[in-house]
Amino acid sequence: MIASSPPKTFILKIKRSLGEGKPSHWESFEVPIRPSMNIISALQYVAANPVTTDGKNVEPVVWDAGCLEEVCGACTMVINGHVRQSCSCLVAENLQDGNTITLEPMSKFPVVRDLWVDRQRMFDNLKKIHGWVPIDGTHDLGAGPTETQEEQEQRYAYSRCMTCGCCLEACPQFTKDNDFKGAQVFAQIEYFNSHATGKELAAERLDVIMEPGGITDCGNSQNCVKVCPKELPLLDAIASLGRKTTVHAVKRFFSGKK
Amino acid sequence: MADHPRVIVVGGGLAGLAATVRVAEAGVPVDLFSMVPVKRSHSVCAQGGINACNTVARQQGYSEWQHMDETLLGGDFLNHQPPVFEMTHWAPKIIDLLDRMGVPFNRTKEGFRDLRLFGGSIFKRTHFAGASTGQQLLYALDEQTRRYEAEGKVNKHEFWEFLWPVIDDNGHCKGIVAQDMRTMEMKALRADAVVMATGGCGMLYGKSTMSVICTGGAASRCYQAGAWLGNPEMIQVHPTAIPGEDKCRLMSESARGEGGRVWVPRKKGDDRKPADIPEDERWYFLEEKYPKYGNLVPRDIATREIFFVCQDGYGISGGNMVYLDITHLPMETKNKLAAILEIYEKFTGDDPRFTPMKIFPAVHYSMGGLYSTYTAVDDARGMVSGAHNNMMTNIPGLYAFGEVNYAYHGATRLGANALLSCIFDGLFCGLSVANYVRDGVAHEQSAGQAPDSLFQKYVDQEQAKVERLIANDGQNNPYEIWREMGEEMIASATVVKTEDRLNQAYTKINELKEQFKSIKLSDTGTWTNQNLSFSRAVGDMLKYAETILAGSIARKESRGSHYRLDYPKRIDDPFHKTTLVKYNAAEDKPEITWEDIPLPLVPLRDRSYGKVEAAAEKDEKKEEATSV
Amino acid sequence: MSATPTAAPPQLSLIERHHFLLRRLHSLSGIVPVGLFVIFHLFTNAQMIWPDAGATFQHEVDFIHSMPALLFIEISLWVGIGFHAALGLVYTFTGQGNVKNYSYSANLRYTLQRITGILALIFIFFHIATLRWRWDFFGWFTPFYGQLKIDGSYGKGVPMSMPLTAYALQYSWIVVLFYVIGVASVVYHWANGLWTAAISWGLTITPKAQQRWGAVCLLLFIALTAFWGAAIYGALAYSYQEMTTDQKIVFMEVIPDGREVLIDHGVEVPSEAEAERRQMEYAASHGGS
Repeated sequence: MIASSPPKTFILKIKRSLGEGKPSHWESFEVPIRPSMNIISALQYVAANPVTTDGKNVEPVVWDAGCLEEVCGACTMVINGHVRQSCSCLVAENLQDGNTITLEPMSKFPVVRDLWVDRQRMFDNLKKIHGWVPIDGTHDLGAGPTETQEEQEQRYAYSRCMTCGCCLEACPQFTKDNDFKGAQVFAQIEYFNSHATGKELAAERLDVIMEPGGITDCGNSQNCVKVCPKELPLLDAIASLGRKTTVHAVKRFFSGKK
Repeated sequence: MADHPRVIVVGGGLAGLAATVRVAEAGVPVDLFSMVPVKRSHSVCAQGGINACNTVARQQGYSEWQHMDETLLGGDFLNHQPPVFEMTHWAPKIIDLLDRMGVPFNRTKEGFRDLRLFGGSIFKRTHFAGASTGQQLLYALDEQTRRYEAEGKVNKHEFWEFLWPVIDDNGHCKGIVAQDMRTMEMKALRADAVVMATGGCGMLYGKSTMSVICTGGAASRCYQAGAWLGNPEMIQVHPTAIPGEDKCRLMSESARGEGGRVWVPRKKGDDRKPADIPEDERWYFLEEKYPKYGNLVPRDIATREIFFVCQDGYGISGGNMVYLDITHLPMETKNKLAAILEIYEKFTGDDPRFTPMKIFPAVHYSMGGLYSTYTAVDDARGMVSGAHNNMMTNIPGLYAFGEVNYAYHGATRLGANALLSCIFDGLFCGLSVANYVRDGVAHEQSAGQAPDSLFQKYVDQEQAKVERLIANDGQNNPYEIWREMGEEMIASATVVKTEDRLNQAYTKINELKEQFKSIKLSDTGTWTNQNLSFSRAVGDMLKYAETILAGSIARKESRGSHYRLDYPKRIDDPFHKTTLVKYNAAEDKPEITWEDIPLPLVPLRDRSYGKVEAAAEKDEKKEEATSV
Repeated sequence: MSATPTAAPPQLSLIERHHFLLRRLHSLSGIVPVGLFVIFHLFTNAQMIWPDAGATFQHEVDFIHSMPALLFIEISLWVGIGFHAALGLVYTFTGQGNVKNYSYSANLRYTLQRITGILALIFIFFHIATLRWRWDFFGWFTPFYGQLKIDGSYGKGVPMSMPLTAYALQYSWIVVLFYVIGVASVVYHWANGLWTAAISWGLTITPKAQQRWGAVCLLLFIALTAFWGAAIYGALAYSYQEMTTDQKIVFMEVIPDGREVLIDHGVEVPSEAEAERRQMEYAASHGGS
């Protein structure tokens, strides 16, 4: 910490638009700094006082938020050019040029309005890869399969994915125009394919990611693992699926079924 | 086809998703409404675990019966016994099911599900998945829901806000009015049953440990539409949370268990940094007032003391915060606490290893909520499986599941029972919903046959409300009203309540209700208008807040989390009763009546403090040292 | 309830249906035919650094030209490069680099891989066009073009690879720069491609394994860089003084102003009469024209 007295206010520069394809513009708001203030509380201040630095009354900024504890993934946005959750982003640690923080919506998903984006593509992809354990039903049929501590630890690491989309936002291979699935989906396939019952659909899941937009399209920039707030072992998932699809392709070729 | 029974589920947390899966499995199509993608529901915030009797505990003398007994004692006997019996006896099956769904429960060396100790029991009965059990359970149910969605049996409406239940001339619920939060499109959807699984109401306290979506708005709207509330005054306050600018995040008590000390500066409003305040100018108020237990006094005492100290102006910088100091502890001890310390550091920017943590009690859970009914089996040991009215509100066809349901937790909820009650509601009572719509006995005309005019009437009503809000050209800022409501509610209806303060708050809330009539929206547009959605919710929060105050005023005793300074004892006669709150639409105010609580299984007994409470506290310490 | 009905499979085109195979072949074609040849080629060129570079390098060049089924090898290389380049170009433009905001080393390598791929393609084209097909670009590649005149006339059998290569590089720093950038791109693209291929094929799964394999690839990169560095150094350090009389005569024959070039470098050149005499002798002994 530098000894000089911290600034009393800072400028929140926000990229705004009325939705996907609509023109966007920047607006700046002056926000008083309070101790351990995060971006969410700054946005709450702006919501209650929607006046720009030019003294113009504007419509309050729209953004997406949920738990504010970095477990729901909702409040993800691009802060100072870098994707992360706005709840766990502290103002004091992220001031640029002395007193500015820029907020932009995630660029890889259609904007709903201002900082709010529609990440439906991520959920749709979970549907495409059959992202569930195919149980017989909810009736009482006894306990599930046992698993070792090691297996549990591996699956637990994957199950912490909160579908925030950081990995996809930072991925140079994932764009609005292509159908690349990205690390989020690959990690979930590893998750489901490593469960005793989830395995039942393993071949179908591998088939899906051998199509265009699948695992082969990964360019190994490895940004995903750097920006993942929950530190999922995304590199392991990607490489492991590389191996499994290779084996699967050979098997599929010689089985003559497909 | 048009007349095929349908069900609407409002809310996509554990209760809503469990209900969706159960109803869809029974072959009834479900429309699922949620303000957020269901995977982001507030259930993700639950950490500790989920309680259920299990093989190991059973062999040590534990049983489902005992789980029920603990739940009833924890709830200070304000909970109905047959539903609690059923829930605790279903708990092991629910764990098995979640296990089959692939929840990564922690494992023992041999590969069985691991267990941890939790408050209110001396047996290990809490199943957990790391420090994010709620998240894992929610995801498992989200996955199963997605499966039914892929099969076309579930239709999700995410980013849709519930506005009002559609109730026909016979008083039966026939659907809902909802609004797309992006396009602002408003529509009525038909259903033969509606399940409200909309969670708690923490937002009306301004800041709580709850998510921003937990406004209680949906519950309030049902209440205004004629649904009764049960025990709304029962609000759980957790003693140690990290107060943030935007919300309060839980701080585990293991910090105190490991030797952390709670203190405030002796001088009111002392603005020095904690390290600059010499030892003799620090007030270790818990150690001073409770020399025997020191910082390890029982949870409710700690909560109340911290609260008093701050009320008296001794909080840090005169605010609502006290220091929880672990800086003096040896490094190995600090490392043992690493996980929780990192959370603190991430959100405050301060490293608690070197700077004392600033903590304060925070509103955590609403035990009360929409009133619900059930059919008990003959000997009261449980509910009749599939009975139409299980967890149905007083409005036929309108159900309440999960936290919004008042049924299971009485006056205080035991840790790790919330996840259980939510999933149990969905799975057990989901069948009741399916039966209700399939049997069609309670409603002579199905939702499909109901006239369009019925639905149009409610859409018009909601549309008019929106137009009124947008056209309003008053001077009051809805955020300001919300802030004032939060401050007033925290000051009057949390840890310690008194008649005078409650009355004062009641007056204040009514003033705010008046002010609300002349608010001005800063966004009057018709596209993704969060300002409108929030302001509308503020109006509904005010009405719900009023019921909390009314219930608190009427209950002139102390029971569980409801502590009246002016009536510090539990008074079973006449208050061993459910607080029933009904909305008086003509006068726009709550009306309170009382309903007896039968005691068919376990008789009333004292919930004694001292010894028992201290022992339970110790158990919790043990658990928390291993969690988070 | 137990069976999961699968939606009707979407109609995929022939190329889409074989997406996985094409991607794997793309990876393979970069490593095996092209990559192996590059190693070999660079090793050969590195011979230019030895003191008797003229002989050693010429020996290697002659060896390559004497290889059986050279045409077959060439065709495989062409197919390999063409396939790899065509798909590579398509794949390159499916992504959008973002090093500016995410300046992690792996991301930098991702972007470099795409840039070097394109540079390598341009380089290889010019390299082959001038040296193999003897295309003449803007005149300043004529030294290579000179090779044309040697075959069948006086000079056949005279080891000219070294002096001509040296002349080409010493002719202009632009040529040197072009070769440095071009070869560095090829080498980087191959070494990094080898690293990512191990991930794509699933050989290196854990980050630790990827790190280890990365070290191996880095060593390969350094070795190959040393090879081409040696070659360029050797060509630049080559002194025309080392040339034999025969080489000088051929040199003057095929390089415009060749005599002046040699004289400028202080080389003692045979007289025109001497040169003519030797050529006559050669023609007589070979029975040519």
